[in-house]
This record gives sequence, C-alpha cells and structure tokens, in this order.
Amino acid sequence: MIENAKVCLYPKNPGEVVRILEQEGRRALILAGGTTASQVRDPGVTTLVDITRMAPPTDALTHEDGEWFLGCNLRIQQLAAHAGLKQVFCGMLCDAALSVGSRPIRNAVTLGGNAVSVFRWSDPPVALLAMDASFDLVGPERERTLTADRFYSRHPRRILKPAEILKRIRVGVPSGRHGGAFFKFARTAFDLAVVDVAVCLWFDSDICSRARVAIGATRNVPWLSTRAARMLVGKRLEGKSIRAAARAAREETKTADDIRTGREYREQMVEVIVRRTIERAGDNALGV
Amino acid sequence: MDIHVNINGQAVAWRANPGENLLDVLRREGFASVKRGCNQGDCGACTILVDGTAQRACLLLAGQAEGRSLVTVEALGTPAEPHVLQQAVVEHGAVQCGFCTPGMLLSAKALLDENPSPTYADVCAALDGNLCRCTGYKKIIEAVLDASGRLRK
Amino acid sequence: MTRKRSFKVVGHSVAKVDSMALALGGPLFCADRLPRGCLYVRVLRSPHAHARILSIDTSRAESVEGVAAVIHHGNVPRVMRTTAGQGAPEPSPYDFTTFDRKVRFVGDRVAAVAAETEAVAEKALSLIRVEYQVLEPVLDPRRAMEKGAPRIHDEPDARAVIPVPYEPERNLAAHVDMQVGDVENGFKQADVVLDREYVCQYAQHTPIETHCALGEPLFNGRIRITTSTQVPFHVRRIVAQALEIPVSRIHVVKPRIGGGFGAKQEVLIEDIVALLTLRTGRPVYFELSRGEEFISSRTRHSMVIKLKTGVLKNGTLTAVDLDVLSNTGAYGSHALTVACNCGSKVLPLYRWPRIRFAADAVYTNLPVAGAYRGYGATQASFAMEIQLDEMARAIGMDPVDFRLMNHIRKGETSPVFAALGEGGEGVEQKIDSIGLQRCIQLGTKAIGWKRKRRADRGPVKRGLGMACLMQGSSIPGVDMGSAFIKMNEDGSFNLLVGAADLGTGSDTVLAQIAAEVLGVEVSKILVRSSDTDVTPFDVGAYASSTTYLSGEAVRKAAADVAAQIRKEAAGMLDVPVRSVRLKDGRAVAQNGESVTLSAVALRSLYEENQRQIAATASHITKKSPPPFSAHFAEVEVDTETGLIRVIRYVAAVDCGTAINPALAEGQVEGAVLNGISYALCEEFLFDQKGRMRNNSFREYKIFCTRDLPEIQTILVPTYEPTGPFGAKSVSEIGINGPLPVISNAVFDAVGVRLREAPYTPERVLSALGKL
Repeated sequence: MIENAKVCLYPKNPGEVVRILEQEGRRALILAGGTTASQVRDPGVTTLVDITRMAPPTDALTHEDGEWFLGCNLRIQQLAAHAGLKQVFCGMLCDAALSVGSRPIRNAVTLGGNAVSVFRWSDPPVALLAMDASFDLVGPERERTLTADRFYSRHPRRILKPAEILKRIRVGVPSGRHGGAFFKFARTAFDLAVVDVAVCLWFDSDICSRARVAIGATRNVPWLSTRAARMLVGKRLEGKSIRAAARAAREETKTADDIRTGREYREQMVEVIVRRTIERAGDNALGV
Repeated sequence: MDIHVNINGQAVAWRANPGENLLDVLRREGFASVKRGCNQGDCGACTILVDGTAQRACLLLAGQAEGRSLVTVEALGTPAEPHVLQQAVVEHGAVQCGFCTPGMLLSAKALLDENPSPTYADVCAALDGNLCRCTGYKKIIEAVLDASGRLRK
Repeated sequence: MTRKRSFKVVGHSVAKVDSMALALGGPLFCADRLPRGCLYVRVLRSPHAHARILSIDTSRAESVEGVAAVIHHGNVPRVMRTTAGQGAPEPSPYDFTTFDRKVRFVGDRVAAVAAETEAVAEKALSLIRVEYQVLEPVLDPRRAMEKGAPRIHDEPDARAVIPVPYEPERNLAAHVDMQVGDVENGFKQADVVLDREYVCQYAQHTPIETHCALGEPLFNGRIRITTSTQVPFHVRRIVAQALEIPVSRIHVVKPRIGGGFGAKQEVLIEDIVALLTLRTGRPVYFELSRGEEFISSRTRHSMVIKLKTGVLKNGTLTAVDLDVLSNTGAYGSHALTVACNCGSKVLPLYRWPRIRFAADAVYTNLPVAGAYRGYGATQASFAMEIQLDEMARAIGMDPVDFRLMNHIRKGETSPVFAALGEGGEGVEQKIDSIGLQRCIQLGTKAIGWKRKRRADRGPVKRGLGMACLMQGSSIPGVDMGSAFIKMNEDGSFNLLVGAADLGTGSDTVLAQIAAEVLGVEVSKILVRSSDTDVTPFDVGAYASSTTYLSGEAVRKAAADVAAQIRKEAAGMLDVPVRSVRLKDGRAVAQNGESVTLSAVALRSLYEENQRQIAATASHITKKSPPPFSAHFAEVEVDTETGLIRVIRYVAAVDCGTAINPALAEGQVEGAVLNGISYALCEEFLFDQKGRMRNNSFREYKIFCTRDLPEIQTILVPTYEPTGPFGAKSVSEIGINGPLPVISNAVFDAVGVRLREAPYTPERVLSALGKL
C-alpha cells in the first residue's frame, strides 16, 4: 500500500521514464514487477511509474554478433524458459532465473528490477556477474555502459545516478571452449539462498585461460572471488586445483550469521558449492 | 484514479488509489475467490491470471493492473459447466479446506494453457508458489495431470 | 476381525460434498461476505516478553477520525478463563483474561481498536501510549522452575478448575505422572539400558486462512459470531463467560474453514470481536495477519524428553521411564492434556511390563502452545521410536522384527489406558481392532526394507528408517457428539451436526454414514455444520473424534429415522415392519413391492398420521480405540552440506473402516507432509529478548510442491466394533511419523543419531562432526 499515491504513469520509452524521474525525484516510485515496490510503505511517494509498458526492445531477448541483448522488462520466467539462452554459458542464467522464488514470482519479477533492486539472496545477478555481463544505463546525461564488476561494486542503487535507469543487459558469448554453471543452495525449493555460486570458465585447449567465480547470498551484493579464479587460471581443471580454488573462495568470504544459517556453516558451504559448481562448469565445458 | 481492466472478460473501471494492493481492490469489488493468506507474496492464495500468467495479487499495486486482462476463478467454470480442472480436483479428493484451491487452479490453468502435456515435474514447478497445508499436494498434482489428459482428448 | 460387508456408500471415495462449491471459488469463508459498514479490528501487542503495564493512554487513538472503540484492561471485564476450546470444566488452567495488566510474551494483547478501515485502526494503535515496567523474562523452559526464576503468573486469581496439580508460584502449569511396577528393578534386569534426551521445537500449524471472525449485532441484544473455528459450541460458552453474558445472547456460525490443525481449537479472537460488536453496535471483523498468526496464535508444545528404556538380549522389554518437560509458553492452554497424551498415546503401543511416566508443563515468556495435530503423541513418538531403533540395533535385531515382537495385540490392554486420561484418570480398554502387523508387513514390502540398500552417490548417502504409531479416537467419557436428521418431501434429508468440518471432509463422511443407513445417495443428505442456533451440540473437531464419535451419533439418528420410515412404509405396503428395507431411495418389502422415500415423506407430512419424520441422537464413548500406523522412509543425506532429502515415504495405516478412502488418504498425505516439513525445516527462532525472528513464510519454511517426496498411503482395513461401520480415526496419527522415521533413516545412512529437531543442514553437518 502506497497510501499517498495519486497517480500511476505509464511511460512508453526509457527517455520518458528519465524525464518523469527528473521531475518527481523522490516522490516517484518505479514499478517493474512490483514485488518489491508493493511492500514499500513510503508516505512520501505520490507518483507511481509503471515502466513495464515501455516499447520493445525493453522486453526483448535477441542476439547479434555473438552478443545477447536482454531488455530490462524481460520477466524472470521468460529467461528461465528461453531456448536460446539455454545455449549461453550452458544455460546458467536460465538456471539462476529458475531459482528465483516461485512461478508466480518469476512471472512478475523483471530482469531489470531483479538486477537493480538486488537483495543479498538474489540469484540472477550472481550469474550475470560471473558471465561478465554489461549494463546499459540511460539517464539525464549521456547513456553509459558499466561492467558487471562495476555495477555490483556496491549496491546498484548507489551506482545509478539520480533519474538514471537500467535499459538492458548484454552478455557476450565467447568463441572458444568455455563452460558455465550456476548452483543455488537453499533449505527448501522455495527458499532464499544460503549460498549462490556461478562460475564461468574459458579454456585454451585444456588449460583454463580465464575464470570468474561469483558468489551470492554472503554479502549485500554478489562478488567475485578473484583468489579462487587465480587458483584455476593457467592450470588444467583437476581435483587439486578445484579444491584449492574452493578453499580460496571460502577464505575470501566475509559473511555474518543471519536468520537462515550461522556464519561458519555458510562459509563452509561456500567451499562445497564453489567446488561443485566449478566441477559442473568444467564438465559443461568438455562438451563444447 | 480510475483503473481500467478487463476482468473475467468484462471491461470495467475501478475507482481506486493506484497505490492500493490489487488484492484489496479485487476483494472489495467482490472477487471473493482471491484469498488473503499472507499479504506478502509467500502463500499464493491470491494468485490470479494477469495477461494469462499466474501472479500474486498481493504483490501488485492497483496502478499496475491498468489495461491488463485479469482472470479469477469466478470465470473458470460455473456450477452447470465446471472447468475440467475443477472437475478433476473434485473427483481426486484434491480439495480439503479449499482455501488454496482458487489460486492453485489458476496456476494450473496457466500451466495447461502453455503446456498441454505437462510431466509430473512440470506440474510441481508450476504450482510451487501455491502453499497448501491440508493435502500434501499429491492429489492436487494427480488432478492436474488427469485434467491435462482430458483436455487433450 | 475384519467383517466383510459390502456397503453402498460407506467405503467409497465419493466426492467431498462441498468441494465443487469451493473449487468454483464461492464466497464460503468468513472474510468473503463482510456486511456494509463493517468495522475492522487491529490489536496492539506487547513488545516485551514480560512486563507490567503501569499506564495506558488511549485518548489520542480515540480521537482519530474513523475510530469507533478502543478496549484494554481498564474498560473490559476481568474474567479469568482459558482460551483452550475444551469441554467444561476445562482441564487447562484459568490463567488468561481478555486484557491483563501484565504482558507475558512478545505479541501478548495490550489493547484493541475497531475502526472504519484497517489503516485507520493501525494508525490508532500507533497513538496508544503504554508505560511498561519491564520484568526479567523466562525464556528457557529448563530454568523455568529453578529457585529464584521470575514468576510469570503472579495474579492471585489464576487457578485450576479441576483437581490437578497447578503451581504458578514455580511456573508449573501442569503436572502428571503414573507408575506401574518397579522400574528400577526392570532396568537392573535389562541387558541393555539406554538413557537419552530428545528436544523438539516450536512450530505453527499455518492454516492458509489465518484466524478470523465477524461479529454482528442482532435483535434483542443478541450477537452473531461467524468464526473460523473447530469448536463453535465452546466458542459460544467461552465468549459468554468472558463477556459475562448468557449463552442465549450468542449465536455462533461456523462457515467453511481454511484449515485448523488444532490452532482453531482455541477461542482466540472471538472475545474481542464480541466485545467490540456489543460496544459499537456495528458489525466488526478481525483477521490475524500472517505475522500475528505465528506469534500470537497457538503453537506446538516444544519439549525436552528424557527417555530411559531397558531390554533383554532376546528383545523382551523390561522397563520404560518417560520424563517430559513441556513448554506451554505464556499461558497454559492444553498444557495438561498434551502432557498426558505424551504418555497415553505412546506408551500403550508396546508391552512394557514396568512403566514410569512424568510430565511437567512449564510457563515461559514465549508464544503460547496449544492443540496441534498429534497433540503430544508427535513429540513422545519422536523420542520413543528413535530409541526403539537404537535398542533394536543394540541387541542386533532388525528394528522391524523388534517392533513386531513387542507391539500390543488384539484383545490385550495396557495399564496406561486406565491410568492416564485427559487430565485425570483414563478409561480401561482393550484393543478390539488392530492392523499394525499388516501395516508393518505391507509397508516393509512397499519401501523394500529387506532389499540391499541402494548405492550411495559420492558424498550423498542413502538410508531407510521406520516407526510405528498410535493415536486415539475421541476422549472417552468426556466428548459428546450429536446429530439431528429430518426428512423432506423429495426423499432428501437435512443432517444437522455440531461437528465442525474444518476442511477435513467430515461433512462428507457424516453424510455417507447417514446415506448408508437410509439407503440413499450422498446427494440426498444435506449437511449443515455447525450453527449453535440450529445444529445440536458437539464438542467440535479435535481429539480425532469426528468420524468415530459424531459419526456414531449420526448413525444412531439415521437408524431412528430409518425405523420411522420403515414403519410408515410398512403401513403403506401393508407388510410387517421387519420385512421392509431401505434401498436406492425406496422402502422395499420382502415381497418386492416398494414405495419411494418421497412418497413416504409426502404421506407423513401431508396425508396420514401427519408428523415430521426426524430424529436426534447423541453419542458418548467408553473407549478411544487407537488407529495404528507403520511409517517408512528412504532418505538421502548429503554429507558435505548436511541436507536431507526424503525420497520416498510410505505410510500404512489402520483406521478401521475408511468411510471415504480418498479423504482418508488425503488426511494421511497432508499429515505426513506437514510432519516431514516439521522434521526438516520448521522452527521458531527467537532473539535474546524472546521475539520471534521468523514470523513469515519467507523465513518460516513449509514444504511446497517442489519439495514433495513420493508419498504412498496404504489403508489397512480393520473393523472397530464400537465405531460407525467399523471406523476409527485417521487425521492426526500421520503427523507423528516423520520425526522418528527420518532420524532413523539418517542413522541408517550415515550412522549418526539426530535427537534434536528440526534436522536442518547445519545441525546435521554438526552431528556429522564436520562443522
């Protein structure tokens, strides 16, 4: 209930959204899927901005020249079920999308909403970070593109400038041998993650040439374990290096107790799940 | 403001605060089949179809419904002509208290509209947002699978 | 004895009588038809676990536009009572009043507001100023009775109303004990003695419909309360008590109920609704939020159970000592009876020659426990069935054979039956129907108990576990159910019952019983349950009583009506009464001549010997025949994460004659999944000040479709001679299995005993010594 909302606007393109946000400032509340906004109780909000009516390509999923373009208004369920996307990094973004909440939630939540309003436990941002996605932003000034590392260097709401919005996300598909995997570890199927891990591996013949190990649910935003990646790069993917990478990821994890698990358990799970996810990404890569 | 929606095939305009939860608006407008079980998007008792997809009415604001097509269980079948899904849940003993049933049926309908031949796992995935404390889900899943078979014929 | 008789309606899975109306989304629940001008209620709840209210100022709240009334301890009668919906005089202590000057848990009532909208009511709550004197809370049940522990119920008017131990000065809400034989001697004789402690947790029923009630003013100073309850007649009595008005001024209606599981065997919100209806003269609606349902509704009694058992190498049991510490929370609702059931629904299952049982239910400053499906049997079975598994392994016996050797047999009794009742002494009874052996045999086969264990998958280990269970069927010598049946012109019948269908399908089961006796289809039986102005008395839906007890009342009433019809028809056909049978909607004479029931009705209503063919019957019982069950599970334990996955679950149950097999299966499946969810993930988490940290479905997880294991229900028919058409109860027993079965299966998989629930991944990994 946004008790003082007087009006709901339906801008037709990102430029219009930006103009409304410039005008209304903190009186405006963006509605995408609505799952977060509907729980807001802010008496200062008077203008609702439903951005899901923006024209294509904001809700499109296309690819061109080895790059996938994901519009901000794609619903999470569309990602989960997209046949083309299942070929990208072995479908890890589909797996991450399928990990979100339950079916009615996935039907509502948008990619943009999920990426920007990221919660500690959000699943797709972890995959996007591992996949080294790019984030195209539109604001009052010129459009700009941020790397995933930059976009998740702190909470995206603090990265976005006033009146700036996320328009789309781009994911490049490497040409060489590569593999990816996403794994959510939670207590029940419809639960928030205890640990999320997404891993992308690039290979030069059978030597790992590049690795991105992203970890979610341990900090406010997903993060990359650079130490884990370092344990993999320049080596063949085998038990010893994988175990070393998993240990490194655990050592790099800084987390705290929360309502779902204690700190120590969660850190231990980082090691287990990182190991399993690297193994799976490696297995996936062998088939390419 | 006025919210224009198509509800169960009828074009209507509702006087509502755009910031109200859609669940409250629907119940006020007499769609009693849309149940309030948690008001936080966790239980699924308020599931409705929005442009054909199952969503939580309690997680939508009234303003978001503008121009959308909404379906509630009131439109699924009538006493004289119940929907095959309704027939199936009755015959399989899949209705106990019945409080989760409307939401469950709409999730199931959205599934069958999209995938007429779901597997057991497909049904579980499609109903994973509808909590039921009475049945243990087994008979509900069996009823949906049975209904899909009957609809294919 | 399995009496083979073919029934026309009983024993068939007819469609639940209300299921199509529910599937069509009809406005059948309490919240669905609120009258115009209805006021909405919100309750101010205590932020402190233990505090005295020094002052309360509601003036600013009262001046908010749209606020109709504010009630609190200063302006409502103080009547000590219990919220437990039990027969009078209740075995639960009178330690509760509508609003007290003291709050005893985070979430306890402080004041209530009725306003034009919920938002206005919420706003008014925020303007109520309360000055608290915060007191030291008791948050650990093990320390509740220690010397010097803060006293939770220091009000002078708290009391027990039946002669049972009640010592609020040391936070003891209830105590029960019994002894048969020399237990110490039994332990001395034993080859193996095990002495273990088990801990099980707070949990909530989580009906998808929270507690809700609508009050409406009627003529002549009466009020109608439409409420989501399992106990409409107890609601009427207890609301009258709380408001100090006669029962005759209160009319209680039970609409369709969105699940109860014991949580709604409690008069929890109706007192507030009734007070505000009378005070404002307007309709008043109150619905708990999901968060309130967790915190301020009722919960399962969490317990610490010490169990000592002795056994000879040959498998003979020598002695049992069961010691229960039950946490009843801030009020003693069901404190005594749940404690009693820990013994009475568990100890008779095996032939213990020497028995000692003692239970203390203690007050703490935590959410209030109450009735929850299983009712003590869940907690005590958890301890007993894990320990039996350990005993069997200690003497090198298969746990299945060990149970087959020791379980109670037909014709036998247990001294526990006579010693332990619901608060007082029990009723001696012998077992007249038991299909446990068959349950074990069929379940063993279905799960593949004797086959080689399936291979592990790397760190994921597999195991099998089992347990045996019993419950009861109603409270003997206490519970009463009754029914009224009248005949209509078209050969249909109105069946009016006080029994409360809360989603279980009891309306259907009772209609089937009546239809069977009257020789008609179920569609000819029009069930009305329950309306205190219209339907006869019934204690309500609890203690696994409806099918067995109310069902027998229905059978008796139907038999009376059938006799009247046969007499009337005999006159019409000019044949002796004894030659007339009721069949397929007709009264049929031996000579083949017949009349329709409609003709009989028309004649009796309009033509000859005019009168209403009708009957009422009541039923009480001298025994509480246990249903029996054997449960089996196959689990996978991930030894790196500690995650347990139940792969398959088999529940074989002897509920006598299953009046409606599909509904009986549904009861078992629902109870089993609730039990699995309880065993693996459901628990209340508290902070250091006694606040519940996870009062939402986001953090308090219950299982969804994707968590569901394969569940197989096997109904094992027996015939209980004292039940309607041989029926016993079925709805509670199923929830008692998963806690011990899963623990036993985990032991089978990884060799570790889990004696503290829930078996969360973190706890399992810790038990494996890996954390």
